[in-house]
Amino acid sequence: MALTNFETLLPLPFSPTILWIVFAVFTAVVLIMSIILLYHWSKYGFNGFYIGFASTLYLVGVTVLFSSTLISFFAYIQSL
Amino acid sequence: MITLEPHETVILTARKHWFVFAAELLGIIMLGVAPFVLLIVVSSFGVDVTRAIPGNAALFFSALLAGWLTLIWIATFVTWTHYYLDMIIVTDKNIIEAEQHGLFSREVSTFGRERVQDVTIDTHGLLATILNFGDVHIQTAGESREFILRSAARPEYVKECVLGNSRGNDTV
Repeated sequence: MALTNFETLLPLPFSPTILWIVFAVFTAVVLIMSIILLYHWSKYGFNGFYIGFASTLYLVGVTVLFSSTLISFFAYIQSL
Repeated sequence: MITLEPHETVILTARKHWFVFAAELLGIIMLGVAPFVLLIVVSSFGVDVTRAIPGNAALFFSALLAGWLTLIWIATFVTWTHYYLDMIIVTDKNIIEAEQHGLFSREVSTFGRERVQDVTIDTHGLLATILNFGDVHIQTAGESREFILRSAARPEYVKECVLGNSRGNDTV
């Protein structure tokens, strides 16, 4: 098998419906994990400064990364 | 939630050594860069991955990698949460042990300082000796269980604080 025939080696599901489902699951995971983490920090955190700093850092990072995913995903869907 | 009694003063908040968190973080970082390395390796074998992608392949990989890094970011903070919420708090009246077993499993035990019978420390290995961390075992009267803070930073100092030989608000 020629190595260059990647499309036959790994057939990927590129139906927009499947991509939307994958993205919806990903969004749900990000939202649920964020809520769980913020809940833990607010309920069990013992030092307000470190918890506040971690919460801010987490929210900034997750917003930037998730926005990048969202923009790239929408742009890709448009290119199909 | 950890609540202190009125007029109770915190003497020490002891957590695992930062090296324990750093070692776990290194694993997560390696996992984070893995797809980038994989893409480089696959490309070096002359495989044109973009041919398998309909539409704009660059946008597809951007979305995939940004999504992957989002999950890595979350995993980093889950690891930090385990590290940060797993601790022993020594106050002038009590010793509070909070064990974070997972995101949905947490155990908080409080016992009076007068019940402490013995504190032993275990330091094993070259790194633990150089970086000064080890397990702190606290035996209490009337309790069958033993309280353990694994890989605690500055275990000798934690022992001194638990035995009441040190005063002041400190964090290790």
